[in-house]
Amino acid sequence: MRHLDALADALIPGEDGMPSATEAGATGRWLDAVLEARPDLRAPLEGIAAHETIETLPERDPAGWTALTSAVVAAYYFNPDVCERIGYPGQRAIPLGPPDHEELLESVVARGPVYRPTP
Amino acid sequence: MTDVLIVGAGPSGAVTALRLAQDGFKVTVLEQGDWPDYSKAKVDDPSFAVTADRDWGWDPNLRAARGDYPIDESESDITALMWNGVGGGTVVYAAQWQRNMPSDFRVRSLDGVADDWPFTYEDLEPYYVRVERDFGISGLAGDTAFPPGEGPPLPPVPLGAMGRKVAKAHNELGWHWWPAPLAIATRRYGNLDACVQRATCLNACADGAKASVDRTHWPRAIELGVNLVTRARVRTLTTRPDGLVGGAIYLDDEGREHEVKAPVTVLCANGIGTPRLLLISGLANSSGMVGKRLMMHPFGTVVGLFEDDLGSTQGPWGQHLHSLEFYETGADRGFVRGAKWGLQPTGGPLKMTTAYPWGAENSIWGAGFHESVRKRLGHSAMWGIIAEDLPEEHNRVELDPVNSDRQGVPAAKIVYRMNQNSYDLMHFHEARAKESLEAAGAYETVIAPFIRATGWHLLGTCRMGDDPATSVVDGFGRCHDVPNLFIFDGSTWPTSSGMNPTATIAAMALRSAEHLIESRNTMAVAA
Repeated sequence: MRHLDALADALIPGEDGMPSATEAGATGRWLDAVLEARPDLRAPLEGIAAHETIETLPERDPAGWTALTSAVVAAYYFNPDVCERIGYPGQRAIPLGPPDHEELLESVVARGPVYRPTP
Repeated sequence: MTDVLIVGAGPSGAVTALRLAQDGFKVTVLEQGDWPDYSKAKVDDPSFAVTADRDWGWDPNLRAARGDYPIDESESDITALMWNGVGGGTVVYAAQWQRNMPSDFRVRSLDGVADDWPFTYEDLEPYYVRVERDFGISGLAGDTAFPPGEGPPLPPVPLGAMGRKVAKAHNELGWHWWPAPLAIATRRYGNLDACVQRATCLNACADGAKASVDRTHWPRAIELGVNLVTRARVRTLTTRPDGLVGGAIYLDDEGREHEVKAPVTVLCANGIGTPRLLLISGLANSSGMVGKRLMMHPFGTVVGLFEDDLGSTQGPWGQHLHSLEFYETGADRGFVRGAKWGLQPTGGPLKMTTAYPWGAENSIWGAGFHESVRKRLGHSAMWGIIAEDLPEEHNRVELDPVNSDRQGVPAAKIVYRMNQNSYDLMHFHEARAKESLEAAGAYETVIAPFIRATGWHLLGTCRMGDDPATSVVDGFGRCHDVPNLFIFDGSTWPTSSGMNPTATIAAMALRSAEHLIESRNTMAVAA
């Protein structure tokens, strides 16, 4: 969806050592991956007029704006290189550690009850 | 032959069905939706970030799934959220397992507003203990916001980096906190596996750690012979010539009508579905209170940004800890009642870019985008604030005069306006929650904008009470007008508390089910 390129790069510019949306494939390969999971987003994205900007789109085409900020941003973070650069490995399975509250509760307990009993 | 018909397979229906089946009752359950399909919850795949809201969303109007019915919310400040399927709200709840406090049952006596409940915390406490074992609750006994007593069976989730910061801050402020009570298993327990902190609780736990009743109750109930019928949409309850309820007529997936006759019928269809069915059926409403006093808990969020990495992309979501410091009415606050706070993670990168909770004024787009994401991702923690709303008769559920569901059954309409007490209460709590995060070291805080899509808790629309002129059911959920018709869901709450309600809904269902069992030989039933 090349007609989204300018809008996508206005949302996510290339700076701070990070690629722009288009450089990261967020309007190409990775957007295709998003649309495979969410085909319902295709129509509102295709309907975005070429002359829109991120200043005008929210008011003139709310559905298009919502689809753009959902799909293009998701596509950006579908790119594993982008995730690596921000130190985000995805929602991994991380076993819980042991309880770590012990010494912190002493002052809570020392203060005593904070509820009103049944009259 | 059915002894008891239950409408709805959420938490109250599950607790009731299992308990009745354990005593040998033949139980039929009608559920309009399906079993949850966890194969759609690819929680370890990046695509879940964009499919979660579609496949596991909370809003029945947006989801429009087979088991849903439309809800006209054009005159409501808050939209009603629910899961219509086996498991009910527990499929998509945050699993914050909060008992009500003693004052929640004595609001009139203590604060001079609304109504007392027909029973006390002490009456319900043994049932809290038992449902906590059945659900596999994690947490820690001895919370100073509750009377002493037995705690849940599993140890609490760790506080983690964010929880320890906030706990230390509250200790310095002299404010209450306690390790979180959660319907999330911290080690293997029954059908549950231990939590692996993917922070997808609010959509679906495909890891099998969240205590949703499709896992904790229905398999056992079905083993005991309960007949759970899915895709069964009740069109009407049936009334016999003697005024008793005879059961229900339901529509199957192809629209064919079936009748279930039962001596006793129990409604467990939530605070909108239950009054909807009663209004459709013209039952149990001599008081005029069916559908009135809808309460939905206004919800607030305050986020803090921290220099340290808190690991807050993941964790139990859920909550790490809760605070009830400002739960009780304060004499000089200008409003009555209060709210519960739960400290939560904030999720992955996509959630760092959304208008909620970050606010439109925090628009992230354009120059500075990456810096903002870096500041938020893993470095933020948030308080979720559940505010008590008081019962008002003009807040209500009624039948939609125009629309119906896909099978022609009248749809629901809700009318709900937040009152000044709710606004004042929320503003006070947001300000205190901001102070909490600042004391914990947040260098920036954001009070999330108010949004409508927070009506997870649907309460009060068939209130319980001792007087048939002003209430729909008695303290055990029996309809005053129809003695073999019961309501065991959150509809019956006289006031809303400021707590996530599933713990109390489950405990009340167990208490009411056992009262039904005890009274079986003396109660009027449909022969």
